[in-house]
Amino acid sequence: MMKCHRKHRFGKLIWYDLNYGYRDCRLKWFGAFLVQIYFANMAYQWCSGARGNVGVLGYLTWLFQGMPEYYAAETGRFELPVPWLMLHGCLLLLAGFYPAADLTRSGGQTLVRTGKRIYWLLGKAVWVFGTVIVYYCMLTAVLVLCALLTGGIACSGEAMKFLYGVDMDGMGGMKIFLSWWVEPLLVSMALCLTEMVLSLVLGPVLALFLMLGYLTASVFWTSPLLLGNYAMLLRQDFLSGHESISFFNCLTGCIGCIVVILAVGCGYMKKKDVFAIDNI
Amino acid sequence: MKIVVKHAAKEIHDIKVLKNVNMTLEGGSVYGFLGRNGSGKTMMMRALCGLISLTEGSIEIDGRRLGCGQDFPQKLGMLLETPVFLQDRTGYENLRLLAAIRGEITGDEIRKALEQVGLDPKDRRRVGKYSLGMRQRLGIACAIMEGPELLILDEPFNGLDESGCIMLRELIDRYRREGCLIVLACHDREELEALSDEMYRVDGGAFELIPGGRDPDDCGIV
Repeated sequence: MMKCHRKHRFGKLIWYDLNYGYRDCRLKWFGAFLVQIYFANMAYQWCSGARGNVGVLGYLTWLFQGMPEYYAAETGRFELPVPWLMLHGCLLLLAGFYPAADLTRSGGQTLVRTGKRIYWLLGKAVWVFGTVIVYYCMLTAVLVLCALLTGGIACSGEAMKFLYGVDMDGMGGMKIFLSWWVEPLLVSMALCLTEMVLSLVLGPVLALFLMLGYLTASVFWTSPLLLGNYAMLLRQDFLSGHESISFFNCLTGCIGCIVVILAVGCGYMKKKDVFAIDNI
Repeated sequence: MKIVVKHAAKEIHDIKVLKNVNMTLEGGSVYGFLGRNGSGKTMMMRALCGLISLTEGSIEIDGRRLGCGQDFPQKLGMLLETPVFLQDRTGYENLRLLAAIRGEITGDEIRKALEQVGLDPKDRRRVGKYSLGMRQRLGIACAIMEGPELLILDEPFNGLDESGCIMLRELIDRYRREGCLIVLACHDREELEALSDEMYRVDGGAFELIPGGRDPDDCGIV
């Protein structure tokens, strides 16, 4: 009976977060939508010279291509892949502020009603995962709309080869799904969850800057330990030749990161002193 | 309900905000904390709510230690510092959102709590338009709406007009008679003496039981 009651309350907490959390971020969601529209338009303009239809996959590739491995050189310049960074940055902005605000805003009213501190944290983790999924669904919808308006959803292998040098022949649907959709989603979940826990310790603004710094480091260094690499299509093993930037490593890295950060977060939440927002 | 505080101490940034606090609190009584700003009243209340962890000592509620298997007191209602709610929702909507987490009360009970504190449940005004006194009443409604057995009220009279003060006194007396354990912090000694069964003077994190408090035979409200 007690276990059932606890599950019931956890379910109610998730419902509370869905209700409160998204309402709290309405303006940010609208801003993220506008950013997605803007970059979808840029993707269309960049891809418009391609032979054959670009489709959803083509636009998605442009947004998440990132950049090839960076080599420091005397005459070389380090440039950040702006669309890639902006899209990840928007998601970090959406996911990073509500949990910390909820903890302190009402002076702990939400926290004491959850019954257990860990439930509160896990509820917020579920909210973060939901935010990531909704964000990618929104992006998919924007790209589908863009593709429908510009020639169709399907993309031709010729266009992909012309634009990105990606040979789609022999690449199965599962490989495309895992590399183009699942990997960025997994990376985003791991990064947003890390940001959430950091926001409880350091504050949301500092957490956001740290995660943006981590993403920048991922661009600078090609390493399987920097998760941002798995979200850049041009760094994938089948394109760059870097065997370590594979789906399997992405999966283990992201799940490992999620498990560790949740454990750290739970340990921190058990001892955290909760004060009103003005008293932090 | 019975709360036993043993040698409770709290240190923050090398400052002792609670020093060797010992007290036993029982249901059906009102305990008043009297002290100036920064003396440690709110910190002790936060410790009783489970919102802060003690550096030393323990707090046991009905034999179960806070922080060991029990993070927060069951059936807790609290009003700590200035209540903050969603500005773009009505008072009723705010309370309904919070009540949904425990899921123990209905909309009727929320409305009843609002009426008890002198607010209109059908008021369509957003909390952003509320006066300070109305927000304070809403905070009190939030504390009492789920029928608490432990009521923690930190400076509840702040911002209340005369009718609000009368309402709050009656409310505290009613909950006390129903067996609720009430901890009340107030800087007005007279108010505290009229309401409390026991009073503690708080100074520099130290709690000292002092004479004063209401006459047990006094069943009326000032």
